Amino acid sequence: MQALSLGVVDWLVIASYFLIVLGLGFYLKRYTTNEEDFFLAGRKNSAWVAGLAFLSANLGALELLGMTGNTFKYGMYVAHFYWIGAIPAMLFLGIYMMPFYYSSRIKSIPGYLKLRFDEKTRVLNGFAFGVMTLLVSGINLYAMALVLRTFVGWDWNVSIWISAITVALYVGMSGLMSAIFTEIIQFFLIWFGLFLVSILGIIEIGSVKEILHRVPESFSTLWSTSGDASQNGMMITWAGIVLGLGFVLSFGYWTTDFLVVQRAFSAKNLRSARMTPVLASFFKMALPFIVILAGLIALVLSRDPGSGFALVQEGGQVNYDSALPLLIARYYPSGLIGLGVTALLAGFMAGQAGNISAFNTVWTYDIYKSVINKTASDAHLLWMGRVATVVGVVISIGTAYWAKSFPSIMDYMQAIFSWVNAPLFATMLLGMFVRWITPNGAFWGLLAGMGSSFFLFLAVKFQWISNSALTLSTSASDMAANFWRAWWAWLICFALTIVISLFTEKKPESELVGLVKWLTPAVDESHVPYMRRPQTWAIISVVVLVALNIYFW
Amino acid sequence: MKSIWFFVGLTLSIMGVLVVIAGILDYVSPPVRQTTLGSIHPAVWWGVLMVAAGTLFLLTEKRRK
Repeated sequence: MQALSLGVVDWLVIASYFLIVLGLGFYLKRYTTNEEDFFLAGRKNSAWVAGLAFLSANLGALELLGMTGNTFKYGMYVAHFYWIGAIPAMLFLGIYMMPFYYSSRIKSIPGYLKLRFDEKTRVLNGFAFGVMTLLVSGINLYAMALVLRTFVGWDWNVSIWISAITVALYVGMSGLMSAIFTEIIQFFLIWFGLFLVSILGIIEIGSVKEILHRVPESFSTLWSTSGDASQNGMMITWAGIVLGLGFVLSFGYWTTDFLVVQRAFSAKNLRSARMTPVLASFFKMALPFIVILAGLIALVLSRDPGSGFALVQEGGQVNYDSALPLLIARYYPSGLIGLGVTALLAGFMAGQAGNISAFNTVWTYDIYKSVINKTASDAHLLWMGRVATVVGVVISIGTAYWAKSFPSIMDYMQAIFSWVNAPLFATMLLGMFVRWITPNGAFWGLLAGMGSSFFLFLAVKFQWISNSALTLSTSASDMAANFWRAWWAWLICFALTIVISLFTEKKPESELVGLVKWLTPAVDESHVPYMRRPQTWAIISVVVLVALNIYFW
Repeated sequence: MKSIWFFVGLTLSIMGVLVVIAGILDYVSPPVRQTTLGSIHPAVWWGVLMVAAGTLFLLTEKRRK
């Protein structure tokens, strides 16, 4: 496609974004005086601030482009990622898991593993998380440069270095606080920069009803075609959606991935921390009105020969990620194009800042202080956090160039989450809710879960086993294979952890108070008005979720 | 310390003003290649909406102080 042409005002919009985020970094530096300020934003954020950051940390531009493209490819089924594939897990985190995380005053998820189990489980998870975070950060950087080169015509090296240096500067100056501030700005930029695409698409086509009417039935429903995998665009049954996406992948990501959970740790008190994912759930449910709607609009236009709309073809392959940029090119005049590009840039950079701020915390506390320098002072840890930020960005740049010379690494990105997060969720679930799970059971179960997920990925990739054997279905897409692989990894970790725990030494119960449900007093909120309780809002969130699923059944 | 809502308001206001300016320039001197639905001048009304939202955030911050 021809690159989007940017006018003077478009460049001014983009430049103003860079000036604002760098200015923010400088401004917040004077309020970042100790390690708690740097790694946990001083633990003084309201539920609204932490909640929007919690959601935005997951709302990268790669996801926006990818999910819009996936909707074009798979139809409405992609909405499962935003509804059943997110909301139950977010509410479970807020209502049941957050009291253990927040009250134990840990600084990271591996920190919980140290308290509940032992040092080796913490280091195993810290190391796996660090590698995953830097890989994802580098691949994001690569994807950003690819998108900007394809759609805006920018030079590869310039895109990578300018955005990486900007992120290193503002995260290095003020840590998690500046990452959170830019994530919230990104949230508003994405809504103001991209929602207009859906509005203009609806105006052009006529109505949302007309859009749904013009796509095949298997693309416009959520559940009614899930009884038979061959009858829906994603080629998956309801069991795969519920077990793989709705349970393992979703709970694995939203309840254990430190990148998002770190935002809740920055809340000012336990009630705000619990409200963080509950509030975020409402905004998460609204996102399909950008991505799914835009994907369906692109599909309707491409099926209408008179519209002149067609996705980019590269080497005979359809580039589904081109759907959103092509809609921007179709509808946005000068000024708005700059806003749309800024929204994507903000999504990429905030995503990278989120990864780097989570990495610097895990590196500093769970690897450096835990293994290398156990007596490090607070001032030294603050210094180490800044060094880890710069080193993390440099490694991300290296990963981006590696990805450039080895493009199929993009295929591995979806799989990375099921290697690390899916088994970790089994470890966390058992650790928090079963008192007799032992440190050795957790360690070996986690290691086996991660190893089995990696093995299954290779086994399908090199055709040692078929996708059908993995998915228990005669027809299955790569997406379905991801869901099922996560399920098997979770199950292996869950079962092995239990079996090994039956034969190994338990921790004394006195060391588990505040970490395990049955040994911890319940949170007393009887003095809090109903409308300020996380449970009340969680119930409202569930009602909205059920209503959306029934409406689009 | 200024709250995040101040910076959100500032961002939306600055970008909104720039988008409105671009919309007015396109209105006064229409571009050679018109975008789909360009006739309804989305940059103008969307930019105004952004400025309104930005101002609301700035006023909220002022009231909070």
